Amino acid sequence: MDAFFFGSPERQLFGALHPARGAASRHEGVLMCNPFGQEAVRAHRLYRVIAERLARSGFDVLRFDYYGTGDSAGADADGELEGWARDVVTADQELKRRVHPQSITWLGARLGATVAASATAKSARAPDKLILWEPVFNGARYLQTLRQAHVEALESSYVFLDPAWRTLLDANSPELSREGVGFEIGTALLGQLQAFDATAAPVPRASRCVVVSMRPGPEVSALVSTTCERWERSGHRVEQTVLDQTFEWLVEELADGTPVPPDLVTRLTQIVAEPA
Amino acid sequence: MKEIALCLGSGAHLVGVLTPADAPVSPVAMLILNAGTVHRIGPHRIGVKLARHLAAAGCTAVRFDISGVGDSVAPKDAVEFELQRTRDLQTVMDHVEKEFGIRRFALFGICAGAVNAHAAALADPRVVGAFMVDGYIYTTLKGQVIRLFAQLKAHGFSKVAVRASRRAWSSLRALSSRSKSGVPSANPTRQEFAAQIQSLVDRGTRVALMFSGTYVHLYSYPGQLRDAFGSHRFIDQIDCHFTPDIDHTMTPLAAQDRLLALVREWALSVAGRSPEVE
Repeated sequence: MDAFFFGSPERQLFGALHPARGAASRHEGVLMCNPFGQEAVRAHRLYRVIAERLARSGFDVLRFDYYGTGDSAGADADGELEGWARDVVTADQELKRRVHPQSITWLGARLGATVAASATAKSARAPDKLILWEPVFNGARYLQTLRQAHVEALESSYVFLDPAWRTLLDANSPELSREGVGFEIGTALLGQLQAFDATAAPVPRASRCVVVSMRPGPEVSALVSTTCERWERSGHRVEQTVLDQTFEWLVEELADGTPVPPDLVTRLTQIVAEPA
Repeated sequence: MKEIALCLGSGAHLVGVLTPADAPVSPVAMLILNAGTVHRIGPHRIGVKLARHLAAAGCTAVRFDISGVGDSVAPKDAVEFELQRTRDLQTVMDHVEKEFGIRRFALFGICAGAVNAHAAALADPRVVGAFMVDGYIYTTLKGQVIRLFAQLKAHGFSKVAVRASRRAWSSLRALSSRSKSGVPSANPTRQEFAAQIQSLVDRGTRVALMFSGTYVHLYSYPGQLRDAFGSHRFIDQIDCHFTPDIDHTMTPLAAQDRLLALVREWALSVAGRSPEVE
C-alpha cells in the first residue's frame, strides 16, 4: 500500500493506493468513497480489507479522505457535500494518473454513496460502475439518525447521564445538529443535508449502477425502489442487491466484536468484481 | 502546515502522517498512538485535531498505526506484540530524529495507546514525556463507595443496578478488546506500576495520567491515585487529571477542546523541562 497526499496545495487529500498484485493487473480501477464521521471510522478497517482483497485479484484500488475528514487537510466544519463531490473527481483523476485503468468502479457507502452519485455529474468521464452501499436518500432523516446516535453515544460514554441530552433530542433541538457523534457539522453541510432528497436529486451518471441494501425495512425498501425506478426511467441501468448481512455503522469500535464481518467482505468484493 | 505521509519500517509497513511544527519548533516531538483498534486519526478524529493543535504551538507531531492496526501490517520480521509495538515506536522516533533532528519525544495514548505509551517510555530513554488517558487504573474502597452513593443519589436503586450491569458488561468488552489487540488485559501489580512510574520520573520523564468520565466507576474522585499510591514519591512528581467531563473517546466537541488545551499545555511544559538525552 502506498500512502500519499494529493490534490491542490490548498486542498490536500490523503490517499492510500493498493496496486494490483499477485494476479496480473486487470487494468480496472476501484475508487472507494468513505461514509461520514463515525461511520467512516467504523468503515476504515472494512474498506482496507476489501481493498487488499481486490488488489490481490488484480484491481488497483484507491481509498481516500475527503477534505475536512480523516487525514486530509481541513477541519471537521470545513466539510460539505459539493466540495466532497469535487474531491471524488480529484481522487478519480489521481487514480487514473497513477495506474491508467481501462475501466473504473466507484464504491461509496452511506453518505459516501450519496456524494459519489452526485460526483458523477462533475466527472468528465462517468464511472463504468457505480456501487451505492446503503446510500443516504434523505438528508433530514440522516441528521435525525445522527442526533439519535450522538445521544446514545453520550449515554454509553458517561457514567453519570445528563437528562438534558434526551430533552434536546426529544425537542428536536437544532443544538444537537452541529455535533454528529463526535464530529462537527458545519453550517454548509447542515444546510445541504437538510435540503437533500434523493427522489428529487439529479440522476447519477454511470454505465451501470448497483444499489446495495442490508436487510432493509419496508420504508427503506420502498425508498430504494422508488429512487431506482426513477433512475431507470431516465434510461440508466440500475440494479438492486439486498444483502443478508448487517453492519453497525455508528457504534464505537469497542462495542462491536466484529469490525470486519468476513461474509460482508466477500459479498462486497464479489459485487465490485462482477463485470460492468 | 503541509502534512507528510509516512510509510516506515523494514517493509514500509508502518503508515502515519507527520505534522511539521510551525516555528519556533519545540525540541520535543509528540507521537500519537492508536486508541485500541481505531486507526491513527483517533476516536472522533482527535489524533488529527491534536497533531494540528500541537503543530500550531510549535510541536512536531506524528500520528501512526502500530503493526496490525489501521493501515499498518505486521512486518515479515515481526516479533511478539509487546516487543513489536515498542519497535514500531522506535522506528518512528528514528525517522523523526534522522529527518528533523529532533531527539526527544513525548507520547500520547488513550486506552491501549496509554498502555503502549507506558511500555515504550520504559524501553526508550528518548521518551521524555508520556500523557496516558485511561491506561492502568487502580481502584480504592473509597472510590467504590463514592460511586455507589453518587449513582444512588442520581438515579435511584433500580436504575443504578441496571447501569452497573451495563457498565460491568462494557468494561468486560473493553478489556476483551484490549486482549484482542494483543495488549495484556492484566494491569501490572501496584508495586510494579509504582516502580515503573518512579523509574520514569527518576530519569526525568514527565508523566501525566488522565482518568475520564467513562471510567468513573473505576476512578471516582480526584485524589484516588494519591490514596492508591500515597506512600510513593512519584505521586508528587507527576500530573494527574481526573476529568469526569471528558469521556474516553472525547465525544462532545467541548470535551475535545478541553483535551486539546490540556495536552497542549502539558506538551509545552515538557519541552521546557525535559533533560537532554546523551
